Amino acid sequence: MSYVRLCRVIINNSVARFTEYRGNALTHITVSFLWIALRFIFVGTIFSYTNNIGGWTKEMIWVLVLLFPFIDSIGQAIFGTMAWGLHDAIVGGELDGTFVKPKSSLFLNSFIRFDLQPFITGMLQGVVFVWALVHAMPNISIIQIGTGIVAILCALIVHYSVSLLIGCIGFWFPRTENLLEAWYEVLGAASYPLTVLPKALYQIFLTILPVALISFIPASAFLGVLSWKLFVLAIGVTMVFLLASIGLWHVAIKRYSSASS
Amino acid sequence: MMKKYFLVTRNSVEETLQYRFKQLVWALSELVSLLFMPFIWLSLYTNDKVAIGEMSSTDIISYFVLVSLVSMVTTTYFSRRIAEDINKGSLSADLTKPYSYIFWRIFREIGIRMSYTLFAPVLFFVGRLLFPEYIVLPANIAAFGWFLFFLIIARILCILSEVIVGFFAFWFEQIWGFRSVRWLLDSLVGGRLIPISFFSLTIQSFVYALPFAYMLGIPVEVYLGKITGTDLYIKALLGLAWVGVFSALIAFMWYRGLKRYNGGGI
Repeated sequence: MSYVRLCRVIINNSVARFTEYRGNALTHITVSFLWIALRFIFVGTIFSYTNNIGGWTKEMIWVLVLLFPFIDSIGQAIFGTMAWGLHDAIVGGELDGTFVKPKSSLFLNSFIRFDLQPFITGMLQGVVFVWALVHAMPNISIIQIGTGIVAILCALIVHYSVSLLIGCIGFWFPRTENLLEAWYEVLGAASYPLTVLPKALYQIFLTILPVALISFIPASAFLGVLSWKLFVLAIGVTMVFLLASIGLWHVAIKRYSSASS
Repeated sequence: MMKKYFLVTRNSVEETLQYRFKQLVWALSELVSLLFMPFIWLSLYTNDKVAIGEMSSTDIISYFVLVSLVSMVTTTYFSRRIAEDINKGSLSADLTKPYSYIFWRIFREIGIRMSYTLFAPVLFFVGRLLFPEYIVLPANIAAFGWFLFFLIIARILCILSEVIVGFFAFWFEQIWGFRSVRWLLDSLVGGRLIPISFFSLTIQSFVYALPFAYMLGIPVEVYLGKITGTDLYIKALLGLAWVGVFSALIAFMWYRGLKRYNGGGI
């Protein structure tokens, strides 16, 4: 079976799951928009006292605030199952099946379960994001759109890579299942303009703990406030994290010894 | 009678100590995510040096540092475990045992969160040594006493609210939506993202009447001396009233929920 055909099967399965749990999906979509409303109230409250935060106007912050849930939802749809399930699969010895199949074990573990519900949520969030972007940038250029789309791809790759890196730690340390939740806690910062941070912390969020790449850099690109230097740095950091995560996976699976490894 | 529950707490403390790294990760991640807030709010003060919402720039840092520490003591997440017990049918085994399931869950949770409860004062004293201008001490012993009172109310309300959310599993298979809405309200009107005093007076009076402010924002404001005099007594009574309302609601949900419970998953 080719990868294209495999992807088609994965998507068909996700449609079947989605139709079976429609009520649950509707709740998720509603609540995700309630969280966006919360961010709007938060931003509105802050901007009742000022007209910019770290050089960002209210309209620019809306773009940033709306971009994070969009990227996160798309990420959840594509590799969320891997992110949240890999640790348990390693500790529980449930990876065996993926190693005996004639396909890449990394591909199977990462993308075997496409989740349509967060994808639909993400698409709806994307529509609201585009509305906010047009509102903030009525004369947006092709270059801004292009760099923004590349930055979104980088965001998804970094998000995937960090999730995979954290999951792989489970091969050595079985009691680290909450590291991913910790990553998500830190990701809460992705919805804010990181220019307000002290320089050292800002650098950390750009490189070691790449929270800035998840939505701050893409939003900056769309808004035309991203320097080429930062854009190149973002691509570089993305490549480093991707290669590190794939490398760690290949090293880690050599340690895997099935049940209770 | 309570001895068996204290034993449950002790056992869960010992169990938790087996997972020290996990506890440390939790504590640090909660701290990192909440410590981001002062930088956002401080950016307002660089534009305008006047106090906002009766808070100076020093107050705002102290506020969010204390929110982080109080949150470490009060926050709980065990509604998911209650829902699992109900959905998977493992509640059936607990019903046959000579203890109250609700008390067992609560005392177990107290033990699980004990490490955070002890970690918070350590962080406070380290922070006080490093940044004495931001980690302020309470104005007097009475203010500290009131702070402890509201901290206990906050802890109880957080625990009870998690039980209520968990008990929705008697009626709904998924309680994710309820948990999320509870967190949303906690963030919006509990003082986690926005100090309550930053809202207009009309909204403030509404927010102070809700239980969410008593779970986080009010203990911090009492500590910082923003709530004083008669207001303290009124808020203390309201906090106690919410404990009563939550307890009654739990009793009602338990009574009605058990009638619906069919031990599914056995």
